[in-house]
Amino acid sequence: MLLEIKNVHKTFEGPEILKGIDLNVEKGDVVAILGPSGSGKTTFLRCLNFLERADSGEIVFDGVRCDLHTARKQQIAEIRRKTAFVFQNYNLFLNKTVLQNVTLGLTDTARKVPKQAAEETALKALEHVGMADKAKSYPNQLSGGQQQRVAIARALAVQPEIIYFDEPTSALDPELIGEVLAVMRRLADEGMTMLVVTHEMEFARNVSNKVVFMDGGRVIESGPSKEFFESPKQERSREFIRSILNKE
Amino acid sequence: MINEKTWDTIVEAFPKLLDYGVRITVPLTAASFAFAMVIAIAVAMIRYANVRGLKQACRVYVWIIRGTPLLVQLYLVFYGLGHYFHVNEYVVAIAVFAINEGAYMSESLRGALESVPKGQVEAGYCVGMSYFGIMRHIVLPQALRTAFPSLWNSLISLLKGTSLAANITIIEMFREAQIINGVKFEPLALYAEVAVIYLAFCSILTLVQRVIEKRLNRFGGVK
Ligand SMILES: Nc1ncnc2c1ncn2[C@@H]1O[C@H](COP(=O)(O)OP(=O)(O)OP(=O)(O)O)[C@@H](O)[C@H]1O
Ligand SMILES: [Mg+2]
Repeated sequence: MLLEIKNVHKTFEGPEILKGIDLNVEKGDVVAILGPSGSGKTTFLRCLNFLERADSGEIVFDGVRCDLHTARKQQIAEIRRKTAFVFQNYNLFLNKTVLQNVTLGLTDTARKVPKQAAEETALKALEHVGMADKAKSYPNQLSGGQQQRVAIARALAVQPEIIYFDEPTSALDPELIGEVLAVMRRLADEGMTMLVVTHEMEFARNVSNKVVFMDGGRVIESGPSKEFFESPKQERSREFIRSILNKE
Repeated sequence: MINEKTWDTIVEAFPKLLDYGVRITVPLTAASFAFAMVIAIAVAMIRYANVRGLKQACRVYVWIIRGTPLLVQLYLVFYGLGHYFHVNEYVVAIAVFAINEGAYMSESLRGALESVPKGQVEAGYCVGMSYFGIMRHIVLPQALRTAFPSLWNSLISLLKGTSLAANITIIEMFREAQIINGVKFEPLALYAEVAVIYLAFCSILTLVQRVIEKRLNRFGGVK
């Protein structure tokens, strides 16, 4: 087991947003996290990387236990070193070139990769997402799809054991979604472990091997993708799938 | 009104005024601005990062400086403190100018820091960067870019403000004009002349600003 997530709780102000989330991720898994808006998917993902501090819960990453509420700086750095995060709105460093966006995580972190080696790694990562020819561009000179591919290259370059994606295509114009999904599909084929919050049913059904369906801060149903789409067990899952299919 | 004597005074005064401008006014401005910049960055970062205790101190600093006249601050330090301690007029001038303008600059820089999207900070954490690494490479450069026009305004206002140093025995460009006037008694001509020289200095700064801004905007960069 690469990652065990146990009993994650989170409240901001007011009602509890995460009411005890459990999830197991094997190496090479592509897990699609589905659920209606406001069900806590983003919050869950952010808690795993300490962008939000969970009220309680723990993860076991590669056999190393870590409390999501009390983790210290050192532990957080340890976890972050093994993970990468791709945001809905890319969050590229706007004052840096595409290449610098990718190298910063190598040169200016505990990884301390020398500049030249970092640039080689970065270029490889950029090639992987088809963005090497834009290495010298600035983010604002790129389309949304291109920016998101650079963000994926930035995530790849640090050689994470798992990449978290929070709705990586939701901010994109429809005609740009395909290029990003294609990159993600390729990563999946290459065995990258991925935890993907998404509204792309095609991706959830055909690329991911597991689905987690969340609603109201709880996991309503989880299991192999095929099963989830062909024979959902919970009434709420069925409703959700129906509503999505109607929209499509 | 401009007879030959007046004209002679103007011509004679010009190199002297320019000399004091270049030797005193400009360095005074540059030194004050450099220190003001250091103060502004420190104060803005403390307030941005919400450092407990220090943050309140910074707020009080900005409140006091913005709420009192610069001339009074100069007098307070030079004549007030100078009454009890030995003070050097140049040190006082640079310190007071820097502390004064630094307060205004810290405010615009703080706003600019806040305006850098938080998502970039989070992305920095996620690739493993430290807080200071993120500030240094990501947030501060973008904030300086955003705040640039307003910081440059501060530079221009500092340049003009150095004329107040005449009040604490420093002979700079304006004081030199006063001194020449004491001999020639041509106040209109001489003060107009010194005004024109200030205007020229400020115009040069404005031109430089345009060049720098063009550079900053050349790449899609930060909008
Ligand atoms: N920083 C915050 N402070 C207060 N409330 C928050 C914060 N972040 C999220 N919430 C609340 O938590 C709930 C869950 O939000 P979250 O963004 O995790 O949902 P989501 O499943 O990702 O939704 P979507 O599909 O719209 O992205 C929402 O009601 C939201 O208002
Ligand atoms: Mg979300």
